[in-house]
Amino acid sequence: MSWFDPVYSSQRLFRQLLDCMARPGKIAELRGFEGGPRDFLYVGALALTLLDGETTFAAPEPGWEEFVSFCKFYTGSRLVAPEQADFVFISGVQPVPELRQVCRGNLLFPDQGATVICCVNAIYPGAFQPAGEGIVLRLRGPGVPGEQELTVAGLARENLACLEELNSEFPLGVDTILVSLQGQLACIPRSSTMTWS
Amino acid sequence: MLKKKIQSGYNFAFLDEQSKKEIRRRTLKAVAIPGYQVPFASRELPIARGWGTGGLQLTMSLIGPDDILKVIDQGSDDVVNAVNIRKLLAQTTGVRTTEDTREATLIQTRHRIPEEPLEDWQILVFQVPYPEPLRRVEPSEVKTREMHAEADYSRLWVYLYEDIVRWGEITIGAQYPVMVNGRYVMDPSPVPRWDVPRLNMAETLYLFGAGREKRIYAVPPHTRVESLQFSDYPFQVEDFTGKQCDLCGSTDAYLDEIIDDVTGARRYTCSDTAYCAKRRQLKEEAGKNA
Repeated sequence: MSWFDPVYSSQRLFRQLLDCMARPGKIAELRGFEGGPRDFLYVGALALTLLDGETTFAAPEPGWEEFVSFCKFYTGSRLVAPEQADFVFISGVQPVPELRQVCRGNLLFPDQGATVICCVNAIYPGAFQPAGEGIVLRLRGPGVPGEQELTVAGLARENLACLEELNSEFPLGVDTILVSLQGQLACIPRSSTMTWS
Repeated sequence: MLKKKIQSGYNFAFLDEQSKKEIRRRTLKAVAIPGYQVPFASRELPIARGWGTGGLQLTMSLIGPDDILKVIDQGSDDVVNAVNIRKLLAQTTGVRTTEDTREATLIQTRHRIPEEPLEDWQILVFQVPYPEPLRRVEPSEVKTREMHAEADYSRLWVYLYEDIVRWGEITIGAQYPVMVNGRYVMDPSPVPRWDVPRLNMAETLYLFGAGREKRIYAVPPHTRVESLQFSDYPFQVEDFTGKQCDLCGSTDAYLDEIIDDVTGARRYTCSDTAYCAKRRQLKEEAGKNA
């Protein structure tokens, strides 16, 4: 795997991810993964950074078969049902009914709530309506001075509503990583409250 | 300082990649649930537990070749704990180290927040001896976890109340309990009260690591951090009225008291030695130019 260095690529990606998780709605540009799997380049890089044999993952939608075997082979992570998974991979475009069952942790251990990695078409800073297909997200909460706006293209409203529902009882909930086809990354931790239009 | 040569035979930043991965996953959860203590599998290190291994493991999982590292112990860059940790990190990563707070991208600290303001491109990593703020009222981990789950902090409030009844004030000096984001009571590590208000609505990400107790927690930037207080007994920081640093003359920094063994005279110096040295240098330069 010449496109992803297990030491340095994952360190760099993790720092970008941490920065975005600490500052919800901030957008990072993932770079330097030339030669990786074309169909799931940035999601694949995220999987290599976060998953290993101690974790479980789910990818409930059809069309993810190649990614699933990639994940199993290169990270050793186990494929399980969505309600048991530490990491749930979805593409945001179509509504994903399985998202409702994702683990939110419990009050004693809220950190056991899953991380949802959601592929979208594009992420733009601020309120921006490219050809009217984007959803403008407004985030408030820890890490955000006032309100943070970002525009996400290729994210079904049903999925957003489902994430909001999952995160309605803080500290229970899931933490979402949005990643676009061009390698933009933004996070919505459970501590954020969101509205959209 | 120049980039150091990397010691051969070790992985970058000492820890193996799987350990780093685990710490990174926990760190992300800690940031997403501000003030909540995330359990993690604390690793063996060439430094004994209780000597900053929690902070050290966080730093090892964060650090990259382009980072500029600063390590302090009680505000000082030159104390044995800071020196050893800096050496270990420099030898296994080759990164540039600095004493200048304004230059460091990554700062590991024991029991102080640097005096100079920190910015959004910096990360401050705390070494934590006792992560559980409720431990002084409840010895059982199972019960304190339940108390956090239910946001039941009544016994801690009673403790503070009894402190006032007995002593006329809240006597907790370092490790002053704080409420994070209105949900979790958190131990800010044994920083003096002086530093506690700087956790509130900060620009910087604060990460806390307790190696012996195996906990990671975090305060993201722009997060509400309130010291526990009563309306008639408000939280107060240490009072240095009428005192100043013997070396640089600072009147608005946290001061260490030094008692002369022979004469018994009291002197005060800045606890943040890099800040103090910088002020003295500026003064000297201003003196030359005058």
